[in-house]
Amino acid sequence: MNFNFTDEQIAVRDMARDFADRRVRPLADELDKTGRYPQELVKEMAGLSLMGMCVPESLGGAGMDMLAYVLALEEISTACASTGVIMSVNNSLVCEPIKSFATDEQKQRFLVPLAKGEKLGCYALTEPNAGTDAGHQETKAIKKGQSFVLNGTKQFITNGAEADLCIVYASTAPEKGVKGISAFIVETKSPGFKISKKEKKLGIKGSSCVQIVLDNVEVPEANLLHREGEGFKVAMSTLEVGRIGIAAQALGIGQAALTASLKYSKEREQFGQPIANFQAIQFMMADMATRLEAARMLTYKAAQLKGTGARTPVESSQAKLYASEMCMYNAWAAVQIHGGYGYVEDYIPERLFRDAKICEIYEGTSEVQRILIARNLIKEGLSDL
Amino acid sequence: MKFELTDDQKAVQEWARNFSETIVAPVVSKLSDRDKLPMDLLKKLSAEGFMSLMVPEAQGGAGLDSLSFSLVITELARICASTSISVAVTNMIADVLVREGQKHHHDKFLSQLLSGESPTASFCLTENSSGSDASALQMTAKKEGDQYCLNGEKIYVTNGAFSNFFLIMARTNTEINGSKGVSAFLVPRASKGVVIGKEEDKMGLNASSTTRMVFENVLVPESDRLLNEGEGMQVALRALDGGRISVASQALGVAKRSLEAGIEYAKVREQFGKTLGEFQAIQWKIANASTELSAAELLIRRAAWLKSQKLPHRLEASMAKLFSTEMAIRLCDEMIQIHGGYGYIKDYPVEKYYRDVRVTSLYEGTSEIQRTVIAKNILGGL
Repeated sequence: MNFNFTDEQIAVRDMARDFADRRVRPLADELDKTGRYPQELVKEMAGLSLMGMCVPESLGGAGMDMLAYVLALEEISTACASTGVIMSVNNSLVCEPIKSFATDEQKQRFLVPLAKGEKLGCYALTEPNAGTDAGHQETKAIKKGQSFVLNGTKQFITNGAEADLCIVYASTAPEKGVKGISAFIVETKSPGFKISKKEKKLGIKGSSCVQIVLDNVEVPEANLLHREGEGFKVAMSTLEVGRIGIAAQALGIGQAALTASLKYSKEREQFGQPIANFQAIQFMMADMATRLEAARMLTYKAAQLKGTGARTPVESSQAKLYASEMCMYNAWAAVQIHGGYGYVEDYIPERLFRDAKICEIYEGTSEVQRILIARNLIKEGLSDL
Repeated sequence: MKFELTDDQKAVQEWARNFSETIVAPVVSKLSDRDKLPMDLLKKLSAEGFMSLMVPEAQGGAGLDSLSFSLVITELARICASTSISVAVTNMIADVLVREGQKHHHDKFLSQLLSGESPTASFCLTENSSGSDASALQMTAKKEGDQYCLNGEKIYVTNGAFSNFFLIMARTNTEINGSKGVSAFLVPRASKGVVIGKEEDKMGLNASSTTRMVFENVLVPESDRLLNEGEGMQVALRALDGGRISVASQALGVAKRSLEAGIEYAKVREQFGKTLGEFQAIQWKIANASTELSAAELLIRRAAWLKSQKLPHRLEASMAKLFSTEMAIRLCDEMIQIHGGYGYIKDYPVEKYYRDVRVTSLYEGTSEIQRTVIAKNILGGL
């Protein structure tokens, strides 16, 4: 056992921190207020190899391990959670399943440009009637010659407005339930691929979230990801990585809340002294810091294990559940410590509070994480760490 | 980062688990709430090396690192929290002797722990009026020639009834308030004027001994002082730094056992035609408990690993202690809730886990002290 980072992990973290401080943080407020997609940041992140971090260098990626990816994503999210989720979706939800399940030919066609950041990806599993119950897919893919014809509606698709490629789940055999679901790599410029609604959200306003209507979208058979009928397996395996990504994003938000609180509590004076002198404030910040470290440990452990290629159903869910609830708590506490100033837009906690909430919802709600964890424990019992 | 235990660490864990389950469990399961740990069990623990776990092998100990030590405490606590605290405190004193003591201290005191002549040792810091504010202690040690005369009272002395000697913090300079006037002494139980006071009647940890102690004109040779005059609180605080990791490890062990019991019960108990484990309300409790338990375990391991690497770990130890003990108390409460009415009666073990674990957020620095340590650390760091 050791808790050291490798030199490479430290270098990546420092590089991401520098970029976050220099380029991302100054834009975060504007992105939040206008809802503008940070095209220029995504391009710069591609230049820094942040968009396909765990893809091998031979395929255009950075060839990093998953913990290095988590550290970088945490740093970006500390500055701006919207930019963090754009990065997270491309890395965790798009590059990872293609890396794990695609053919060599598909990797050359799709993964290389995604990893290089020449193309942006999105991930379409959720539907209007299939949220937590993701296996209940209503989108259909009907075989027609050498193609599949896709029809259906996808909901809450992050990066959907800007993406070039979309991993779409659809049922190729509805009578087989989850075993009839298949995954496709769909070009968003395909005829019939329509953005039907752009959502207005509580937070992470700098990233797009759209509804997509698939209206007779013809997808060549060569774009089928993994085998027909094994799409749900792809989805579940992908979510294990995706959840680690969201946990890393939550770490960033949680750290930002703590950093803002530490600074403010030393500057703000009441009753003739900085409020940092009061136990009520000290204890909130002690809890924030402790929970943040606990979340870090769970997230880093899940990342390290996932990086070895292992399945991490419990570890990913625990990291995501705990980190997202920590970040909600830390954002709440930051608002509370800032008092009235925490409630106004001039101070960061107001944005953090809105951004934090999504972490408890997307890529599996806290409720579904708890179900997954509990089912596994009841079946397998408590295991040694 | 690498989260897997080494083969050596796994072997230590296995050794401690095996001893706890085969030697400790049969003995403690027969104890009533009024019984203390039998001397015979303490001697067996001592003979097996549990009382000198981190003492270097060259000095006759097991030579374990801090992480392995933490694993042992957790395994003992899974079976018996009282045993784990008796062992933890004794090891804390053994470590003080190795770290702060000279050869004559080793010959006179450490040797008693290694041979089992003194099955346990005790740490006497807390007094009636000084708990969290430990350095406000009032017990005095007055220099008289080449010896000191000790007078005062100590409370909450773990192992008070079992130990042959005590590590005592007393004030050598009454002119100075606070820590700089305090010195550390080693005092044999047989010294004239040492009175073992009443056993406290506690909520939990009933098999462990927790006594008051009275010292009336107890004469201690100068050579039985550790370090210099005025350095006693440093000795105490360094000891407590490690103590926080061991209390966190203890809380973790009790919590693990409690969660195991909760999961088992949820699998077999049926209501409304389903097992409890099929209800989301119960699944929630299990999911929360296991998630926080995993986080606590990792925080403990990191603090212990830092300590074993001789790296700074005060912040991490406080975080591990705060998080693990509060997690364990919540968890043990929720496992009673899963058991319903059965959780409240003594035929089932979960009420005992709750009573045993409740103390962990109190001793070796309350949660409030840990939060103060953490806050000072992070506020200083910006």
